[in-house]
Amino acid sequence: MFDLSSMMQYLPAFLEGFIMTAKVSIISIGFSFILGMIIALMRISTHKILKYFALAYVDMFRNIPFIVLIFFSYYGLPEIGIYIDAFWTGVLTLSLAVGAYTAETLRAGIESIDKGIIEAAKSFGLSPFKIFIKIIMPIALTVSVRPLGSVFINLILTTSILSAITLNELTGVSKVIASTTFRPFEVYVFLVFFYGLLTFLLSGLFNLWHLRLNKYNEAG
Amino acid sequence: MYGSEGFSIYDIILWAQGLGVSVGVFILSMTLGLLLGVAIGLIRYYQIAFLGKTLMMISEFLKNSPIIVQLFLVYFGIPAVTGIDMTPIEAAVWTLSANTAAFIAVIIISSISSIEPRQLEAARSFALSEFVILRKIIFPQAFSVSIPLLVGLAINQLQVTSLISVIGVYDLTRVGDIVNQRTFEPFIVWPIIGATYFILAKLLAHLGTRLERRFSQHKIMSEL
Amino acid sequence: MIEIKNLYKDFGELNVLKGINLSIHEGEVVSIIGGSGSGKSTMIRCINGLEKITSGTLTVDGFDVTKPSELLEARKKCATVFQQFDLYPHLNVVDNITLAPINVLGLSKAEAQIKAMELLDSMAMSDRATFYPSQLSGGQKQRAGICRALAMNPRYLLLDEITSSLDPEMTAEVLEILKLLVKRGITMICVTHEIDFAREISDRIVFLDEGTILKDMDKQSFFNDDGGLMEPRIAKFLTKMATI
Ligand SMILES: Nc1ncnc2c1ncn2[C@@H]1O[C@H](COP(=O)(O)OP(=O)(O)OP(=O)(O)O)[C@@H](O)[C@H]1O
Ligand SMILES: [Mg+2]
Repeated sequence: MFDLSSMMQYLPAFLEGFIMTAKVSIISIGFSFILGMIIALMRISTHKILKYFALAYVDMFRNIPFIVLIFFSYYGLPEIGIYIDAFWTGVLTLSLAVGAYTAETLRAGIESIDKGIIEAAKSFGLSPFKIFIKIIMPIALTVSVRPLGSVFINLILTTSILSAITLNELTGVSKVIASTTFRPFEVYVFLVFFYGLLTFLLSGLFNLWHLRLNKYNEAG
Repeated sequence: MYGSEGFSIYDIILWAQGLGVSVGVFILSMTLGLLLGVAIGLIRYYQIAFLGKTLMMISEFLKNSPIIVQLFLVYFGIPAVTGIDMTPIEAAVWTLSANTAAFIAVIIISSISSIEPRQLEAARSFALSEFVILRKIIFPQAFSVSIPLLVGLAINQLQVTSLISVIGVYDLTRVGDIVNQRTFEPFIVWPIIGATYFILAKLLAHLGTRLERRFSQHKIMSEL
Repeated sequence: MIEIKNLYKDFGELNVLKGINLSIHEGEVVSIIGGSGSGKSTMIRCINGLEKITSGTLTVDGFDVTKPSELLEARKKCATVFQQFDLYPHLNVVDNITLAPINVLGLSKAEAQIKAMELLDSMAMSDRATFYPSQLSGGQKQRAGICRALAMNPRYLLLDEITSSLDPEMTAEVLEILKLLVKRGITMICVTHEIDFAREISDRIVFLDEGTILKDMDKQSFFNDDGGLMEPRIAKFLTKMATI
């Protein structure tokens, strides 16, 4: 009943799907991180308009399901003359949506920083940019690595929804394999295990990174 | 391409139907998920051999794989090996219930383990039965700890219901897709669908904070 | 010279500094004392440009701290040691000390590190160079804080109650170091509750009371019966401090 051997021939296709998932994920993680940083900074700025814009942004993207967003982009963008393929539609929408979560995570990290430390740096004449790069970001990251890790793992799981706009990533490819082999059970069980293992490995990596970044406050 | 036919009054009925299906599936799967999740949590807590570990293992995979794949597995995979046919709605409810249960089990276990073990030892030393301990000591405390976590989970699972459209359930998202294909008005259709989810999420969050507040008041009262 | 003229600072409705006039010359050691909430920290923060002044002028060697274009120059001349240490928690002691010299003064990493090691050595801290702040005792943290300030080669060292988070033993340890610095001729503006210490090291004492300077005189006259002690509020403050 549970027959994996006959499916070996589909391994290359599966691998291609995996590479597609990896590509979408990595690019989107990069973009959503940068975007999240900008939104987080807007969110904590004293400028009223920036602040409320960021707040509305986060609120909107966290409360609308991703599949609705992706359909909006996929059908909407061509209507306004923007012709990009499923890959870039996916990357764009994923980055925008996950940026909201990244922003909240980074904001929590930034707000946890003792104000005195930043003032000390200011008093020594460090520029705002240097303070951000050398002090705020490193400390915020040590606080946020783990929550950031779950945000990014969620991003990877969310790429599966891109199969709904015809992107041939892991899930999309598996759908094809399932219907050509008539073995949906084996294919999807395998897929569940595959994603599960992937997230398990990644969360392990983020834990290690957390330990590395936090070595400075081990001793009390 | 297909002609764009414009909107009709029936689209409102479609929308309302989709809304009903989404909310219905949400409520049903949250309820079933809660029952199932509590059961799994307790089985794990009382370390019922083998079963507890196996269930938690399955929970881990449910938590760490895409819901879409889980929906495909249940809707296409299970009938293929068992021969039992399922309607899309049935598959959707079972999948989301199991998925919700996986998260709830973890919430239950962490809430129970937040209770001071000394309290339980004290209770056991008075020869209270495990059932009484569970009902009178563990449950009330674990409940108050888990409320905010459960509210957060509910808000998340509401969004997850939008995915059942991929196995053909006529939920809000599917209705959006149908109307969008017919009218070719993505800039009207999807904002309306998005706004509906947004409002539902806000309502749920509002209910959640009321629940939390009511519960913390209850806690303060009982402390007096 | 740090020159403060007619300085006012409000926090909304609250007037914290009400017309401060104060000049501090190079080579002077000035202690600023006064009751809690009298505005001492606020004044130091104004000199740093950490608080926006409401009115008046404040210049450091002619650089106006209220002008964004001159603030950096003013900040390069002053270095502050903070009550709560405020060391960068993610950097070890050496990196704490070298961060500003490298990024503000433009020293090379090697130069900055050599300088940092010299400073640490002079404070018997060289064995703690690669420790993180969380691994240091309070006294060690504050010595690192002093090194961090001195590494900027400041013309003025600003100290805001730098021993009040320390226990007596560590306080003594840090005060010893300050005495050494004074002997070397550094200009120091020192907010302190350690009256004996102020009496020992200062050239001048400034007594701040509810946002105004009640007395600004040289040490000898300040502690004389016909000097600062004539002022009942000062006498009261000093007796209070003495009984603690
Ligand atoms: N950021 C602020 N916002 C509002 N009020 C402030 C702020 N900073 C200081 N104050 C107020 O200004 C007054 C002076 O504070 P400051 O810290 O300068 O006093 P201080 O003389 O240093 O006292 P202490 O000896 O306790 O350190 C206090 O009443 C304080 O509450
Ligand atoms: Mg103070």
